[in-house]
Amino acid sequence: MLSLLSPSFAQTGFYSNFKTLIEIQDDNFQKKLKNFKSGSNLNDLADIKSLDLDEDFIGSIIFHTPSRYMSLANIDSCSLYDLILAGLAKGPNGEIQNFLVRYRTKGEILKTALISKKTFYEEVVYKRCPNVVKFQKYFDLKNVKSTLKSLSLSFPKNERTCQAEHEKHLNDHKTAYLCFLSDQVKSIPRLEKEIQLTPKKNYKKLTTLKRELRVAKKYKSHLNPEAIGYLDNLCQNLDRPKLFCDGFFKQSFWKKAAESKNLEPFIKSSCQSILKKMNITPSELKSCAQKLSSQPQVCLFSGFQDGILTPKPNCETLGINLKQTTLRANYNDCPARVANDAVINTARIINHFSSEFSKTASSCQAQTSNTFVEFNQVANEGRAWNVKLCYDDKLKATEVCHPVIFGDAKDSQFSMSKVVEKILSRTKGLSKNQVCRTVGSNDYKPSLLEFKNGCFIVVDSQSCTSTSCDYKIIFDQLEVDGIRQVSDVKFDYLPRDFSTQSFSQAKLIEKEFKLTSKPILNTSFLKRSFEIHPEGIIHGVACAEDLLPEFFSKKVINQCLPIPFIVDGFKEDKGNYAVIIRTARDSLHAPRLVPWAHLFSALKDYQRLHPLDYWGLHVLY
Amino acid sequence: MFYIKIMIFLMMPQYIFALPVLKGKQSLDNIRFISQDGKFTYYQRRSGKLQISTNYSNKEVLDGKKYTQYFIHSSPARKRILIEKDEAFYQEMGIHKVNKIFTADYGQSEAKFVANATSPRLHRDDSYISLFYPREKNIGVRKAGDSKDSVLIKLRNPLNPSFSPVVLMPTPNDVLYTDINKDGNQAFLMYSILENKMQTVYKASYPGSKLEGCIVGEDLIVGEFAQVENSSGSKIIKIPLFNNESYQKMNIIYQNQASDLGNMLCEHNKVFFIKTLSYNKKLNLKETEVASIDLGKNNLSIISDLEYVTQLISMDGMVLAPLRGKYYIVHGKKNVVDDGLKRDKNK
Repeated sequence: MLSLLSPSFAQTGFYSNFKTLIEIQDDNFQKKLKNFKSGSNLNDLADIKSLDLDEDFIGSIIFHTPSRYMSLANIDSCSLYDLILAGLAKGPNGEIQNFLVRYRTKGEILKTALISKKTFYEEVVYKRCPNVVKFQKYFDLKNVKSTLKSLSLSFPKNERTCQAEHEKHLNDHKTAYLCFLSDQVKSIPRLEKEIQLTPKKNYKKLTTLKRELRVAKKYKSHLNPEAIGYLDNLCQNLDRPKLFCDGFFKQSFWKKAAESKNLEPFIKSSCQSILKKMNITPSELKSCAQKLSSQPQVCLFSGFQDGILTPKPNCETLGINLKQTTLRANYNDCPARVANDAVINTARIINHFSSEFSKTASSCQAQTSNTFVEFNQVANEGRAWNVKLCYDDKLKATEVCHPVIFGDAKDSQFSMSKVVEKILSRTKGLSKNQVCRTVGSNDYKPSLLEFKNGCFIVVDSQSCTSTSCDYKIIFDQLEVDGIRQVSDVKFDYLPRDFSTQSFSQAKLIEKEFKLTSKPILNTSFLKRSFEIHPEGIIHGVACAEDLLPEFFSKKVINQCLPIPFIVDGFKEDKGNYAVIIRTARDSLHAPRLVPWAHLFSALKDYQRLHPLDYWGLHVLY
Repeated sequence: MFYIKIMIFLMMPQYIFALPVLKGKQSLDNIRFISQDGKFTYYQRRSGKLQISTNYSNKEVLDGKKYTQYFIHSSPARKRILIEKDEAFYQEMGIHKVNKIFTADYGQSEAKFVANATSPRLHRDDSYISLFYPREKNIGVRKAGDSKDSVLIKLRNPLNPSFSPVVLMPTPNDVLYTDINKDGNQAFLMYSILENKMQTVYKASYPGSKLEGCIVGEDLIVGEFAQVENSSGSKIIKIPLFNNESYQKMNIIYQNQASDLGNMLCEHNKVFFIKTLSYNKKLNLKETEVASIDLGKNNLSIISDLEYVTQLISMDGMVLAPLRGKYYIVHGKKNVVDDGLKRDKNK
């Protein structure tokens, strides 16, 4: 076969040859520079028209400037100066400080000289290209705010107008300065990190870095999140119009989520904590989506109010994971407020296979509890739910108990108000047309007329979980006693022994939804299961210390914190696998990527401690 | 102003491989503690009993419901052990779950109830116990013989309900512990019992980094490790706890741009931790090994060749790396540990 490359070229490769080329060019240019001293003041310049930039100097700029910016240098003879002034064009030592120029002197001699940036701009650029002065002023810290007010960055309506928009930017002198703003914003995390890593004794460097950070933050403060995203997309893709347009039309997960009613829950609770408000308008949601798309770190602790395991993955990883997830999750749950991992996991699986048990409720934990209780009532006469309100029935001379959830769910017999009404009608003569109202302890004001008569359940909502709650029952202004709370929720999530295995939640789910369940023992079966049953999910229990070693430490031999989880996707890379997983402590909307190696170890450790030697990973479809 | 001296920045690690595996005469799955000299073993039965076996006897320590799980915490002082009894291991899982904590003399069978809590830990020559009450977010500290906590410290931690603090006691009057602030930064805080005062000893540089720690001599060794992939990397720092005003003096003894798993512990003047050797971002997959830093010589060694090791535990002077059902002996007596018990045929 005939090779297109010479043997030596093929061996060393393009990269190596290009590198060598740059090195040769740099060497030549540096040697040339050594012959000149900076500081020439162009006093002997005959005519400004005779002055040109040295060819090697231009070559050096072309070599060292990111290629995407070079397209901005071709607008006209002045555009290169904009690029240099905006700090986008680079020389071998980074920012260009000196200019190598050739000109004809008053004595008609062709001279080459090295002049400072200041002299070059004052003596040459501002005379030849007066607009450069204007643009520089428009974008300095003093004026940038008013400049940006007069500029509008419009989001393209379709791909055709997008291409035209891109072309327009390429022919606009202002684009170099807009990319300077984008660079400033992007420099913030780098500068913050450098400041952290710079020893305090290196105060000179530290002062410079801090000043740069201050300036960058000031520039950022004048840009809204949409503009930051727009400029980042533009400046990264100046030479790639297709990618620029993809940035708008092949949206990030977050932008898509902000526009889709179905995906809204995935973004809403994060944005509630980021924007520090519960009611978010559609435009605020869009602006929040922009923030999530451009600032990956904001996701780490967002949505914490739901009592979730934090830090979550960053927004970038989360967006990628969420694109692949199949678990039905268009609602909200709150793991720490439910405070029972198995209830959370079971409810998530129930909601995936059926919406029949999901009812609107007064609180997040009440909704999850109700889903669990209603399902178990149908599947198993409610055996797993041992949360009850009990009282002594004096007529029957016995203790009577009613299962309850701490909160109200629509049309649910387990709603706390319904259960209290039932008990009070029996013990206090509450009439059938009287109802009990649940109010937060902060909202209960006994002096107000509305609380003078009737039945009120005053709940300290901060203390309430799915299985315990501090509350007072007030009936006609008097506190009702004699109603006891019983809470002992212990049930098998996976089969524990042969005699009781059919009562485990895993088996009840299989039976009730007529599902097939198969153990997943290896990655081939994992892959095949998702290929054949794309809507199926995998669930199980494993030791948290092996599953998420960054979060849970082992201290002693055979230690294991069992944690239930759901897997609804996987990734493969060169024969290795990772799963997309939500443990019961994770946000429903923040799946993590866990390597198969960790999942396998976590399952193996749980299996070793299990009475049935049970392998805790099963696909359901 | 902080005075940070970087002692080890980029160290050429030494490599040692092929670790011996911990063995006992009965299944390791049932063993809960083996003394390094092999003279006694605490082990559990599926019936719910915790027992201690020596060469000549076999005694019951605790009895519980069928399938009760026990976990035994010890310290280098070897005077006492703490036993965590979980009677609903398979049936109750949740952030507020607490276990019954007992204490017993080292190698003895008589156990005394301490409290319902989690994360028990022995301190100061086994004369103090700290506990964590997750529902209340309280750290409790008491003298080992007391029936009540003499100190209760409430954590702020508004962000992570699964967070369990590291608790250390550099003196009988000071409690060092970790907490999280509203921005996600963990910090080591020093609570002075006598003065009822709090002081920040070290604050993590990045939100989302976890702090681990141990006391070696008069120094606090702090490990800062990223919990999710970000740009923060990892570092291990030595902070003198005495003659160090506002804890401004500190030495960075290890720094890595990659995110190590950490799970650090200190034994025999060495710091052991899980180091990341390579990272596949696409799968969030880290190749990890056990590393140690000799605090005297300041040299870093990679000790294992296990590829995906994630945890380190300390048991009676041994440092063990658990992986897929095996316990690799990273440090301590290298010969096979003999628990001195003949196979129990009744099991």
